[in-house]
Amino acid sequence: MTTADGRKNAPLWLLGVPVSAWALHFLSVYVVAAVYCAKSAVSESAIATPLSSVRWSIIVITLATLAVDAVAAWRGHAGLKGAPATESRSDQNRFLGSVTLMLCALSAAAMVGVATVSLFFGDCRQ
Amino acid sequence: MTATATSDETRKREQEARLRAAWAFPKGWRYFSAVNNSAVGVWYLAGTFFFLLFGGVLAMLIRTQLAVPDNDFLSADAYNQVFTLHGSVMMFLFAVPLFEAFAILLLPQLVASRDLPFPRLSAFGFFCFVIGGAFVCGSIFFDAAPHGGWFMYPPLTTAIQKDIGADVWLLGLSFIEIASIAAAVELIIGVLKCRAPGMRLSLMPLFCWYVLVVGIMILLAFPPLIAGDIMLEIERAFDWPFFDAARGGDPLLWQHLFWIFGHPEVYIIFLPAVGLLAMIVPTFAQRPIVGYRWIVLSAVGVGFLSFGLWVHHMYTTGLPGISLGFFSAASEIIAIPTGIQIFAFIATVLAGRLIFSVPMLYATGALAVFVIGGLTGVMLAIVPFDWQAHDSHFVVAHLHYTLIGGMLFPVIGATWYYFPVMTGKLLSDKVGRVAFWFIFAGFNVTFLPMHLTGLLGMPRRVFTYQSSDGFDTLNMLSTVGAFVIAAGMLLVSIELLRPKGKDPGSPRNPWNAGTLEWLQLMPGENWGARSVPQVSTRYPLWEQETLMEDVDAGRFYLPDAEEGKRETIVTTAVDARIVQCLRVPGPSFKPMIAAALAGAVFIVATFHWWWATLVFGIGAAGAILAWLWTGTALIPEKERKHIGLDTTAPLYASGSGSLGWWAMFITMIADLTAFVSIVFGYFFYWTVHEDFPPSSIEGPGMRWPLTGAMLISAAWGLTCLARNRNRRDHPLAFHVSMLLAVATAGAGVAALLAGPLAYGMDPTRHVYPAIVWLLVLWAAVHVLLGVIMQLYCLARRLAGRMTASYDIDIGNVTLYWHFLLITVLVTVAVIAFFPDLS
Repeated sequence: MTTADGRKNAPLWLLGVPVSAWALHFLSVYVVAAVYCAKSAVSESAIATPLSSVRWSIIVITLATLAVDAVAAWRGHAGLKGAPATESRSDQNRFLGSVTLMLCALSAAAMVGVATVSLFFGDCRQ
Repeated sequence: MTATATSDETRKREQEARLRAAWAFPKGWRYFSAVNNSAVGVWYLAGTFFFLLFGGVLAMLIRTQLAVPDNDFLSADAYNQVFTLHGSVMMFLFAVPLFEAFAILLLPQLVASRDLPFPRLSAFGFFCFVIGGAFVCGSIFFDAAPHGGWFMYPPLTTAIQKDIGADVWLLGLSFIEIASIAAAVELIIGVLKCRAPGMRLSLMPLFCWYVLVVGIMILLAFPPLIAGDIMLEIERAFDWPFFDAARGGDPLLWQHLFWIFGHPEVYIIFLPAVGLLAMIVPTFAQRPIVGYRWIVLSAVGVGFLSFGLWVHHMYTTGLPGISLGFFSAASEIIAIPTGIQIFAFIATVLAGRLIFSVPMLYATGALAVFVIGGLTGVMLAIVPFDWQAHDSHFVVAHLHYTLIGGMLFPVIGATWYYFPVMTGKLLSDKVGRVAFWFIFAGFNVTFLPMHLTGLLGMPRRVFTYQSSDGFDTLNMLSTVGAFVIAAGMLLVSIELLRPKGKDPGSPRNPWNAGTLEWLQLMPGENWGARSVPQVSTRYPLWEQETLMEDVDAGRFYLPDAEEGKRETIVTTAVDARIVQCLRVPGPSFKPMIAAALAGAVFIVATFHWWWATLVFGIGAAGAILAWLWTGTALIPEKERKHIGLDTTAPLYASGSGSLGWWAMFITMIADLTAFVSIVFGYFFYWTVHEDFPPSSIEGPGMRWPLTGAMLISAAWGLTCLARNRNRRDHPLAFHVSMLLAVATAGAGVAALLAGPLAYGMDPTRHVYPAIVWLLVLWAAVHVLLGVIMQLYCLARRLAGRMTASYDIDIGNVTLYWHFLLITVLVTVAVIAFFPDLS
């Protein structure tokens, strides 16, 4: 769907992109760490096995999901420009655009916050 | 008066008479067949209020028992039943249903819709709630109540508590969870598709955003618990060892499934109450809310982040530190969107002209109490602190600050605020203020010292303590406070229940609010708004000058009910353009009968009376089919109708234009989430075991699962073909395709079941055969439901109730089969392929 000046409208599902990116990120980092610790660290000595491979995996996952957020934020930002708020369609577009943009920021902050945890843990010990 | 004016007045009166007749409540005992949101919403509220009082009495019993050391007021077992039921009742029978009650009552008014899109579904949900609630609560009078804590942890509830209590909890509350999911479906569609024309997403009242977010959360949070309930009940009834460590099961899986539900549940309770505050605060600040977009962001943000917190209830279960760290971080981050909402309310109050009314008093109390609860939440989210305070009374104090501050205070405020909408009368200002101070003071006297009781080491869920423990004074203080709260609640109850016949009626829009629910006449008419307005602002009563007058004069949409039918307008999800004039069903006992029969299934299953379960199951299925047959996808007498303002709208919409299609889609999202939870169980076992699937136990093999998948895929293809043939009006091809689909699906079920049967997988021997059987049975039951739907479509076409152009039924059934195909393919991939991969 496009506006009169040819720009794309921000669709409703765009709100779901940062939400899904966060969910995917959270689930992925949790599963990677849980499976690694359960499968690789089966003995007492192995519990102290360094988590470096997990850390790198989490960095890659975080960068990938941040990229998804960036694309959604770009689409949301595009919705912010344009005609004055008095035109109803444009106003709607600005609304969805700005909420998407803010959600992307929150989602990115949450992803970075959660991923940062991996920098502080060297192994699978409690 | 001129002749034209007289004729206009006469026409208006005739229109009103027709509207009144169409939307009237049935008289006498038939009143309980009413399905209007204004009736069902009030019943729901009354039901939740009753359960609040019941849970409150249980709380008083707890506090009486703990008032002094070595007390024998309650025995240990009675105490276990009382605190288990207190938590369960307050969470499942008060807090969540209260959201549904307020939303069912208010949502149509807020968006100027005539009713919710599926009024009979609301009634069905209400009766499920009442039956399930009465069953669970009644058990305590027979000394048979659940007594394993509101979270039912195994192995306590499997290996140790063999009595019926846990079954009552699992089956009774599962039944209520179905009602919650039904309400979520109804409310999500109500928000997205039934708003007044012009009410774009950016204009809808904030409460609607909260309803939307919480509805989606219910769809994703309740199914994991339903999956867990099924597994726990099967373990109890048939000895399948899902949570039995000796046979490969793991009690921690229950904790994961429970808290994946349990933590979002806290926000499912909290967010709607914030939504109510978002309606109250602007009214009493007499200005639009500050930061509308920020509040929307916060509601959505809290909604999704709340799914990343569940392990903070499991910090002491021995998970790796890094995993705990993830959940600790997420638990801290959620404070950001939560705080934004509170700051937006404070900013609105500061920017406006505050009227310090009773609702505002409760709103202020709510913010103060909730902020304290939030701060102790931040403390508990820190792992080392939680290790010290876990399972102590500190946690009891924290959760009551969040739930009573975040929910009870806003709800009492909202009750004072919205009472005129419900009854046309105002509640007493004086009683409201006195009750507030009783409850506020009593609450803090009860729960503030309880932080200290917990830090001093008093554990939760113990029925007594010794004098030497040093908890005496603090406990006595908490008990005194609890009785002060009870006195406040008694005042609230008396004020709500006292006859108000002689009270003067409330003026219309008594608080000078700006949103559409205050269009209502006092006392209200069953039709809601006299005509459905065209909306162009967030606060139409403040910002659209002649709106109320035009609505009353019938100058907007649907000012009449010419055909005597109940009608409402369906609009597009984003920008609320008119797409349909929806005919909604009127009074019926069918939802009540269906709920009673379905309730009987759950109740008799508790006692393991399997034949009776089967009989009631068939009865419930028959009742639901009769309800669907006579009341859904009805073919209208004409294609379009004039709905006012020179606009016509279709009376029927198929495919994704049909609200039934949306309902099916949303329901299947919940269904798929439950299925994913079971699949999560399979991979959980794989993660925690070195050898899973165990090499000593044979799996279901490749041949039969693959055959099943192929046959069911063919049945799916034939169903799609049947839909297309019907659309092209080829009845013979439709019937042949559908019959072939039924036969193929039946063969597919047989093939799926043949896998574990052929390899002699005994589900009681080890968790591996148990989880494989559960996945196969889940898929098989879904295929059988799909077959019933196919046969239903065949019958509808034969009976002339479904045609080439009026084809809602086959559209919805095809959608079901799309989801079914995903379920079957994933099942087969997991049970047949994964063992080889691993």
